[in-house]
Amino acid sequence: MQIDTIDKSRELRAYRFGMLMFLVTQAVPFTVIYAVEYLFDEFYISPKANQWLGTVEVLLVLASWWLGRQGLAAIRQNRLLDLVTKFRQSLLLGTASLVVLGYQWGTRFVPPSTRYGEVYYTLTGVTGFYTLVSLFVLLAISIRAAKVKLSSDNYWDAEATMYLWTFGLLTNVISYVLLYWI
Amino acid sequence: MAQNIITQPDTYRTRPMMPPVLRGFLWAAIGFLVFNMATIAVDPFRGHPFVTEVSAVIGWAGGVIGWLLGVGGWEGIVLPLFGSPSAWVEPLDWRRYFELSTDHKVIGIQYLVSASGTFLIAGLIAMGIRYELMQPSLHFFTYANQYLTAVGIHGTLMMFAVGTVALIGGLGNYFVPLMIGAKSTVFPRLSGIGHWLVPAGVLTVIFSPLLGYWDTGWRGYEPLAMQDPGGIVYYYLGVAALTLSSSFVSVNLAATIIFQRARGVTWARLPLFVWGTITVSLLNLIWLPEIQMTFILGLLDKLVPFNFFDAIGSPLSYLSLFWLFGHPEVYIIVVPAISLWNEIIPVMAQKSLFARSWAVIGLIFVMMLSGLVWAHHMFTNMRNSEIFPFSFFTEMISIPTGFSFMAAIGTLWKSRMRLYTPGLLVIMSLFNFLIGGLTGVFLADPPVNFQVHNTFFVVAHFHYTIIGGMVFTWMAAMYYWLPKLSGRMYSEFWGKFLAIVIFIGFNGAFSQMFLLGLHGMNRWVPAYPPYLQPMNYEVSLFAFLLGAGFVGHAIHIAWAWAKGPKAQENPWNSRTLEWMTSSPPPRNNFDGEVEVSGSFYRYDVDKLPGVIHPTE
Amino acid sequence: MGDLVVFSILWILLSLVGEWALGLAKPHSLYYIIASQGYMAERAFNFLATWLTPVFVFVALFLIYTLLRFRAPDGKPVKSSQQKMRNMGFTVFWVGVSFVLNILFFLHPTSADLQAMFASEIPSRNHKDLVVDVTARQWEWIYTYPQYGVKQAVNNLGEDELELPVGRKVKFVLRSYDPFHTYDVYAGVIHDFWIPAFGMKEAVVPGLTRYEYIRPTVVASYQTNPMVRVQCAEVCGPGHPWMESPVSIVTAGQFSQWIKHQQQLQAAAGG
Repeated sequence: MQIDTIDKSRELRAYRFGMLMFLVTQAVPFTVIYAVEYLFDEFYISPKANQWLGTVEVLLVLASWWLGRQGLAAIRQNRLLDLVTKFRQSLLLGTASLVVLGYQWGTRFVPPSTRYGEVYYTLTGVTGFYTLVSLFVLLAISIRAAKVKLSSDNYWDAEATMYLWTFGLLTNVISYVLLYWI
Repeated sequence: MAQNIITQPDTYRTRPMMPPVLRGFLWAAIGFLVFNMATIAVDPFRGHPFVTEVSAVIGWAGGVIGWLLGVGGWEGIVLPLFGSPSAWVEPLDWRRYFELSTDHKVIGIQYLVSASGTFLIAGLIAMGIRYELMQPSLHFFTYANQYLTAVGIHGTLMMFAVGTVALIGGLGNYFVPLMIGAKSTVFPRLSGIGHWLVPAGVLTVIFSPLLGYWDTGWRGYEPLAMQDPGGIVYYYLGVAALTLSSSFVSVNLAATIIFQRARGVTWARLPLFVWGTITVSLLNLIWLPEIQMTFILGLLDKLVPFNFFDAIGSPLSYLSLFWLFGHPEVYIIVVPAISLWNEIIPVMAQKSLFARSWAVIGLIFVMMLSGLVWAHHMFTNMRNSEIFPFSFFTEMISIPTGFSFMAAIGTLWKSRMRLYTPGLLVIMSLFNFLIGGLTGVFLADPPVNFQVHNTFFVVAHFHYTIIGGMVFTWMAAMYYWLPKLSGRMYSEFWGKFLAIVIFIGFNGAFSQMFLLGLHGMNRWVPAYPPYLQPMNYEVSLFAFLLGAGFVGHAIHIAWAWAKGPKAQENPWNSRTLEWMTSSPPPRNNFDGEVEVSGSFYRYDVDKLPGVIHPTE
Repeated sequence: MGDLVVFSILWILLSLVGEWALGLAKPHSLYYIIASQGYMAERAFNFLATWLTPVFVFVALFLIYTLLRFRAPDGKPVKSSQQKMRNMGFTVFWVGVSFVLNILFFLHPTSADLQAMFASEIPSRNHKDLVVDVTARQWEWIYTYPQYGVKQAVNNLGEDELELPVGRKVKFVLRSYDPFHTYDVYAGVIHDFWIPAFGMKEAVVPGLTRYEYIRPTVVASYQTNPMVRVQCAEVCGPGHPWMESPVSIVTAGQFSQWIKHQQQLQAAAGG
């Protein structure tokens, strides 16, 4: 039995490490576009960029992440129902942030034919794609959690989701800072 | 997620279904159509054809998703992700090779077969290229873009679906867990689904001419790529699928090597091939996502179009971003090969590995330096004043590469080398890679580089390192591990004979290319000044011999795999762990717990390094 | 010990043979070179070849030596009699030699030659250069001689032609755009300006201007040696293989006659 516990904890460490490694590699493409942003725009911010909507978008992501954190804290204390609820609320806010982004794209506040526009659409597009993937995982795990009955002994799925969503938060915040502040 | 697998009844399928690969094709077609039509539905401009460049991209994404779900991703990954009980049971017969698998040995063989098939297809294209070059004018291809597309597809497939895949996805998936005494990998389904991205990527690249001939070669240089017809789009997407596959394998293998080693397999005892795999995995994990993002920028340049890399953007930025990945890429291909030399030589010579720590340090330093030399591909493109550091690191990188030679030479010295086919092929590979390496010193010197850059000198140098270094070693490893993969032995006569054939064909073809390059033969030309014709004719003849030799090897290995005589349990008298289990190994690799208490490369002691404690 | 002595003697002997053979090839190692920069490349090439020959002989001879001397007479897995895993002497020799050679190569030829190249590009030393504006488009090389008012030099057939006086330093100004489609920002791609006989090539990148300084030293032309041609070396589309033009290096007198001829052609054409 003791061997089993050691194997379990080693397996968990391997999962955590693998997930972390995956996220670190996914930071590489972002490094590339951040470099491209700097190359073409340096510290320029288009006056056409809508500061309000940009801020609302990143605040929604932040709030969503915060709810997700609470969900993870809940399952650590074996409150499965809270996990599911918080993840679904988190999913809702995250989707709202994508809707705000979609609105900005649809109305084309920022003209795509400018240097700033090129970088704006590339950066928000890639960030939005990763956000979309994170939201898909939030949805999947909120359903899975209820079905396989995650518990305080077994909540790696929820933890992995939050690894991913934390990465999503970071990319959203950095993109926001680069596009709207510097 | 893996610990929550719901155990299945021990039957093949709980309900009948289509063969997964067929279903994959069907679902891919449906996925393409659905995504393609969804794109058309939101297209604000009416009157476009049914398939546009944009809808081909979105449709491709749908096609790949359909394909991955069809080959088993639906039951094997998506349903469990949502917590549903899965009806997916892996069969034990031949059918397991034609669907999503979680057995690293099955995945390894899937990768090997995909890589070998692609190698033969891309090799056939190379034969077409060489046939064209037998005459100084267009006589085989009708248009120059056809030739350039052939060159591009040959290069793309060989780099991304053979070189990057065969040693890591194939042999790495199969042997790394065995060599460290693990029973499985950490993320088996990741590698499993990763393999099925290879056929998707290969088919994408092969059929890219359907959207128009693209003429950039495998490097996709901007701004030329922006002018190209739609085929270039499927080059980007095919490469995206292939590199994604290799990243998945790298995450899995790196985590496996770090966490699943058997008791006693310390870092100081780790086999060399495992060291090669982990260094390459790190390179993959850093640089493959880099090129994926670069290609997405290229795609946007093409589709929207944006102006990142054209005359009003920065073409040199594309070149830098490409070679930042492109140079590590050649080490991604070659490092596992040079680590395999020192895996095979001690066994064949029954002699302790010389200077093991130097060989490992060499691999690590090559890995680290490989990210600092990219601009030596751009000496003629960049400002001359920026050349210095890149020239310096390029010359320095030959030092750690030389450590592997040092270990090989030290091991062979006064050894008792058994010249079976694997040993012979490794020695040939050492010779070829020596020439590839030494000609690299010429290329590292800027004034010489200004003359030979973009000529056949570079083509020859490159093929000497990749075919001479990697493919010859891959062949050696196939013969070395064939008894383990299949439990059967090859024919020593045919193995040696074919090894000599490819050695003659290879050196005959590519050594003359050095001279062609020095004599003024530039690259990417289906037509050239007539004074270069005689030597080109000879090169082609040798190239055909080389092609025939590779086909011979493929047939011979396939025959031995299926019909060869039964092999002994440990025919080479090797000490590494993969030989301690039956051939081919059982589903969970070892019947018990593996424990290691000695070095794998000490041939001066009789006691085997590993023992298996049977489980009660 | 015996193997070491025999191997060392063979290595020295074969290296000497190699150097002798290399000596025969050296004057032609880059086939046909007739310009200052090319001589630099040729010297560097020969220098590297001289030092790398013993390295090549060492490893290649060792592999052959292994095949002959260290092979097992049968396939039996008998342990090698020697099992040495460390040899400080050999390690120091190998690592030391590779370090010394690489540092040497970086100092000479790399650094020394680049220094000479940079020196030749200092503007104050290039007052009297013949300036040739080279415009690369898909797929044509256009040569302009601004000092003589020649807008596009052509031969009797109307093909673009590059003609240079022997012994005079030339400054090539390299640009990539299409003068007939200047409104199209997508028209320019990367070309590579290469004259094989000059031993030098320089990429022509859209949006950037590049310079190349060179002094042709021998009267020659495409008719006397096919390496005396301009050849695009970077893939630039389906027309790439045919993006070439003949080069003539002539005496100063012939050159001024040729310039007069070009001016007359241009005047006749109404330019």
